[in-house]
Amino acid sequence: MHELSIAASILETVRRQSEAHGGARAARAGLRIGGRSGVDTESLRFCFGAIAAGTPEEGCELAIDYEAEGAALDLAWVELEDQ
Amino acid sequence: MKHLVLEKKVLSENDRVAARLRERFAGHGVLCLNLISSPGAGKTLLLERTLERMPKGTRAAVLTGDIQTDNDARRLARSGYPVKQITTAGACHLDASMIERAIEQWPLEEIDYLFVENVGNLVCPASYDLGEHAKVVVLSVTEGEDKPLKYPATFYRAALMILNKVDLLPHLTLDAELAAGYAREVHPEIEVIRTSCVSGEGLAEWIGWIERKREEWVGTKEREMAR
Repeated sequence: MHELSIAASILETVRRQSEAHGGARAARAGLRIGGRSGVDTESLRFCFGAIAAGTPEEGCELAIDYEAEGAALDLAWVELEDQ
Repeated sequence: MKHLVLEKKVLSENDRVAARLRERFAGHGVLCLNLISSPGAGKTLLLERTLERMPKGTRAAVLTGDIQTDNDARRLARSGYPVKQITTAGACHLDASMIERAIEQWPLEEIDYLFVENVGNLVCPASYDLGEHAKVVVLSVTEGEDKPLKYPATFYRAALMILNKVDLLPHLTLDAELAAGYAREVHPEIEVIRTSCVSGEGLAEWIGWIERKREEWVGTKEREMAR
């Protein structure tokens, strides 16, 4: 299922933000997902957790703002810990 | 805690490549259609019949996606038109970069119609823009009326639903009007054409739709450029 490649895209973006801010650890990533996007949120959480394991992004939580209508698949924000 | 606002589409990389493709297609007058369906709905045979029936000299080309084998490309190549197989080796959908790589050697200025046959899958292809003018969903009469309700992401994004294999209707309990109704419930503007690659029903209508869409979406650009 392509939740894996979507999770990989999210991980990459989160990592780049982390690197751009001196390696500050990403605590949470905010996603906006529409029911019409075709993405299963539980599957996405599982895949993200699986690929983040053992990396600096391990433990980064996905905060998912789910809207039944619409086809959004957006990475709205990232929260980095203070170093 | 530092809160960074990104507001970035997750598939922005694919969208970037798709936008690039869209511009190239527009620049070269190529109508690109992305055919999506469950495995076995009849996309390949529909394309074979389409290529057979389009007027002689039509400048068409086909990209066909599968996880494994080049069986579909072999079948379609019998038409004499340029055909290329994209083998994803596991990916359940085509994405824009696969299309970009596949058309690298093709002279787009010599193509008026590019048909992309997506991997048989009613779920994943919906999320991936390939730079196409329109997604066309092919639903077989053997699949049941409520598929549009079960797979709204795909039907929501399709400009046209082809209800295929209508020659089988006498043997089935499917209500074709209901299937069309469900599709319109999910996407009120969706057009519906009933086809059979066995009886030939609807094929002329489908080809008429293709030609009209090229005229509508691509033709205006050509007229602008000619002026």
